[in-house]
Amino acid sequence: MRQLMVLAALAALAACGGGGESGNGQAEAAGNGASVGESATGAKGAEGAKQSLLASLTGSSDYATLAGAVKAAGLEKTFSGAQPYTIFAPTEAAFQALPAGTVDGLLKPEGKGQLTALLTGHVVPGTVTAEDLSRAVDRGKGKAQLATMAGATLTVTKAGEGLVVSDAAGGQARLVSQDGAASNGVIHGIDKVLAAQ
Amino acid sequence: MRKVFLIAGVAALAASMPTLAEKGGKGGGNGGGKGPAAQVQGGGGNKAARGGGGGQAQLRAAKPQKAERQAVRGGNKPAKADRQALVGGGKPAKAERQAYRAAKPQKADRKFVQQAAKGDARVQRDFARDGYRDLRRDVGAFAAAGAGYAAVASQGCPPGLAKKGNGCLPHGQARKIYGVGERVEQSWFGDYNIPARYSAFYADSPEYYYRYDDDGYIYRVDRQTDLISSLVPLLGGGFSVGQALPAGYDVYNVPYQYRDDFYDTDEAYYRYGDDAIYEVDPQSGMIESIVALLAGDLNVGQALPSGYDAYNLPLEYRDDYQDSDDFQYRYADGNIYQVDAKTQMIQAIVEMLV
Repeated sequence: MRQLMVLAALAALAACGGGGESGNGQAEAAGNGASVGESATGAKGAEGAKQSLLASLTGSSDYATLAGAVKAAGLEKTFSGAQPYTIFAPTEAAFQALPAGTVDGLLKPEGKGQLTALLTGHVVPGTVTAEDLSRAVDRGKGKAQLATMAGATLTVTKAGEGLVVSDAAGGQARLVSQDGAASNGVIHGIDKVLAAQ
Repeated sequence: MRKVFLIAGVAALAASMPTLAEKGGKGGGNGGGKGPAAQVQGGGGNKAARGGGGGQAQLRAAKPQKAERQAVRGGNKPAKADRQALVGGGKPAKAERQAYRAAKPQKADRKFVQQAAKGDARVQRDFARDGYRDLRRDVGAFAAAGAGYAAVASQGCPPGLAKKGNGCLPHGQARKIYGVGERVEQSWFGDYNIPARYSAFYADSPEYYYRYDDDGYIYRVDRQTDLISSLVPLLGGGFSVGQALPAGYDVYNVPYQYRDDFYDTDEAYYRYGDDAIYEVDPQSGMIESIVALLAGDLNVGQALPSGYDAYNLPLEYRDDYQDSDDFQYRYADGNIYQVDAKTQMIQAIVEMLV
């Protein structure tokens, strides 16, 4: 175990030394460190081929606004790092449905606190697939609760064949795409922006 | 003069040792934490020398007390140093009592201004005696950094930027942070303005009213006296990229499982607060990035909190840890936890992913 840590630390060090700048160096170091650890423990390394959550968001025209918001809030390294997250990702249509000027206001420097809270309110820890959600709803007699990274709770229910996720204020969003797999988590597209708290 | 360089050099040397130890892996602990701040002192000293910042900067570097005030103060009003120190995790309860004891708080305030204006180090000592010893110890590390900041600041700020304790900031960010014991004036806040996500927790009551400041703090104000009785820093909610990390986060405090990934370097510090790990620019003290979000609510020996209804293990671990009638497995903050399916108690960490 100690050897692993040393290996991971070395990898992180090496990556930093090469990069020098504070930009992506650290995030990549984190990624490398984890992958060294994984292969050494014998865990499956097949996930390496997938791109990160961040790359998935920025690479999709469906999530252009969300990707911009993630960048403005400084969450890029979070979503390109080794930690797994599940993102309930509002689509372009979801952002367009907000009152005019809302997004612009959030992207201003003084709105970043709220922007950060809003975004982290769409994120839950770990990798929760649509099937996991569906099972949890069945087991929970019709609903399942998910703790968000903003400290609030989302409630998942079923509506017909689909899944619906609700915020604490009662806002409801439907999963319009599911299981966008990434190396460090999964993205479910939703048709409405949820309230942070 | 030479002595000043020597001091800076020794500080840099001393600082580099714990930092190196930290890079080796876990166990950086508190010792490692103080290193980086001191390292800035070395850096600052060098800058002053190179830039020909003048004797003033070097003098500051040589006098941590003064530099400390400079670093913590953040403005032209000397008494602010003390207010800001309060903000950074002082002991509001005591300050509160103190404020109430003073028959005329505003007068007391003026006194601090006068004393500080004289450049009297006693002000700091008085505060230390009055119950800020713990804070002072932490601020000590910050003071060293302050020497560096002061050296930079003495070279003047570019147009459009205001000189603040921790560097040059846009004018909007060089705003005043009010302190416990200050009397609120109506013009400061206006009507109830707590962000919606916090309004449930900070609703006005018969005893107190709450106001929010764009600097990221909620103020609790006594209705009868209009004195600020408490500050609530909103890290995460009110604090975000582009803002300065408040005082009180000087010491490296990243949870152990993340220390291999996020350790302090010359380019970036990492600080944990309000369930996130922030990357901070050592020179400016500004939050540059959020590098990890933490749930922070799962602990071995406690019941699984609500919000973990769904199985959430990363795909590569699912073969090894499947929910069964006896056990459930949940992921949070770099760990996979085993939960007793019947009692819902978290029994163990079965895998550490980071």
